[in-house]
Amino acid sequence: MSVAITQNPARSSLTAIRLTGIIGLLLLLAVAAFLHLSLGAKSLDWSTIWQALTAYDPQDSDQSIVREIRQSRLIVALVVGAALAVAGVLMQAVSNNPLADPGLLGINSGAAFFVVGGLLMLPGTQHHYLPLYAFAGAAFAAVLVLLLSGRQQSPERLVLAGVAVTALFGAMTAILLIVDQQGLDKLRHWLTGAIGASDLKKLDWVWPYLAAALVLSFFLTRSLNAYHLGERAAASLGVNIRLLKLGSLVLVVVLSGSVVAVAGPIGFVGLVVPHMARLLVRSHYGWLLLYSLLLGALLLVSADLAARIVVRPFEINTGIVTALVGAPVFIALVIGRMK
Amino acid sequence: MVPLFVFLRCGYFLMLVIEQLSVGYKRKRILQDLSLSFPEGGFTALLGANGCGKTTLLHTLAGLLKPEAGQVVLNGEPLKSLSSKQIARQLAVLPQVTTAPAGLTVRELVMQGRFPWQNWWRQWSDEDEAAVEAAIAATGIADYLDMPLEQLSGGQRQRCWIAMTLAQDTPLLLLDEPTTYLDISHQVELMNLIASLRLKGKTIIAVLHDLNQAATYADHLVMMKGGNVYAQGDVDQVFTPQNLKAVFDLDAHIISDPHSGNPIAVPLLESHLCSDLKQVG
Repeated sequence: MSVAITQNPARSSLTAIRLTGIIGLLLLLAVAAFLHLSLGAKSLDWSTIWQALTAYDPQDSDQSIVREIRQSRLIVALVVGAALAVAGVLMQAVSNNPLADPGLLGINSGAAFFVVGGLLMLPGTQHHYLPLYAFAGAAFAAVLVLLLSGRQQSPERLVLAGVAVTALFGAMTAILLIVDQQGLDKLRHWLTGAIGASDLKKLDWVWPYLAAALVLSFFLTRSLNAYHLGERAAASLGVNIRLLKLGSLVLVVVLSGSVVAVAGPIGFVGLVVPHMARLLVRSHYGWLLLYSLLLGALLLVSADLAARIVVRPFEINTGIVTALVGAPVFIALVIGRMK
Repeated sequence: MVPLFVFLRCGYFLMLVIEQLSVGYKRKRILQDLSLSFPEGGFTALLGANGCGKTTLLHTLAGLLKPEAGQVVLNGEPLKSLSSKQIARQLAVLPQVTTAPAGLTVRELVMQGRFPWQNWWRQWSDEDEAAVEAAIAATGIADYLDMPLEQLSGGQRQRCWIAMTLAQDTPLLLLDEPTTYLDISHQVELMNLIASLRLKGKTIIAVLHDLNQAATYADHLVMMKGGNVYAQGDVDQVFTPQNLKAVFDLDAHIISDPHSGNPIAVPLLESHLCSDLKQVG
């Protein structure tokens, strides 16, 4: 057996295919990003965008739309999509549950409740505290869902626990907002998962957490690959199961909490994207994370684009678009499981 | 305290020793004050009725379950002083129910066996390569390396999982009912494979549900009852009608295989049923 098992031609061609896929995704992402900059309430031609990006003239109102508004929004959409998708991969892998998603399992709504509560009830809240409130809420909701789902970890029970916790935090958020009508006006937009130009400032508060969490996620690759064989098999291979689960939980909390602090609760991205990525790369978690990261960014940029152009000159919220795309996928997954 | 009599009787080096072990889930004790040792290079079969604690014992040996009292000693070191990776370099476990994770190919599965030898700065070495090649050669799965695990038969799949545990390159191999869901021909094939591994120097500990397979392939039997060891020792001494009656509530007599001379347990039919069946025939 002279041909190395792991470096044989079939295997290296597989790597080549996967790399080609990455390049293809990057190209698609570039096209989507360009469309995102050019289309909107006012359509701009590509040369204007090119000029705004390469030789910015602040006096030109069209160019300033690109630079001041759409570019900020694009960056936020890219980051938020990537973070949600990676959180979804981690959740689905560790809970061994294809239906796991930060939105469906109540983590987003927990974070949102803590942010609203912090803003309205704690006087003198500094804005850069908001991510910390969001992390606390996300962690609280995650632990609550885990406790409710019991030790057996049946996927259905986990989702039911998530639905219950989502409803609970949603109701409590609604109560807070009824008490404080002014807050409602300020927050209504944010609460349905909206991306806006002003969000770039909020990204300033969370980017260190986000960057750290995204990088650390890739360090879990080997353990996640082993965990894919089943919990017992992974444990007997030497995977520290407790550390893996705790680490993933912390990463999911930071990723989803950051997203909520920036753009509000945006659902279904974490659910849909890992399934799309799995169609492309099957089972290797390093590639799965990378593909999901890019697909998540692509999905959210596209969703945000749709949010702005479908009912021009008005806008719908990005979170509503992702729900419109994601809900049918969720239903299909549930039906697929029941068969 | 090492049970000294086992030491003297076997004359083997004892790789794995259990001292006054008690294990339980929540409030239910599964194993109670159990002491046992396993000879190096031997093939030990754990036998017993369902619920007697065989699998619990195997999981405790592998460090997957923590004992409430007592300890497991692996090569002279208490298991609890070792990290899960250190344990995984000494002993490999074939779980009772092996899965076929969606999309996973045989090659990817076998390569996972190298997990305990790697870390994130040392990804894949020549040693890893050699261990995987050896595992593939020993199990004869080279023909379907690039096939998804889901598309293989139960017997082939079990071979692939054994290849993964072999790639782990451990002196000890723990198997939990490796033949349970297989056709009879695949069962024999797999038991032959396991016996050949033992001849190559591995120490085998297996939970087996087929008494005659245990008597044929193992050289050391441990019969368990009610969370403790009822009888243990060489096959000839332990594989007796009295022990089978006590442990399995089975009326059987032991005959000798005319081909190999190995003992075989044959269940006794009640005499009236015996004659009735003959009449019907």
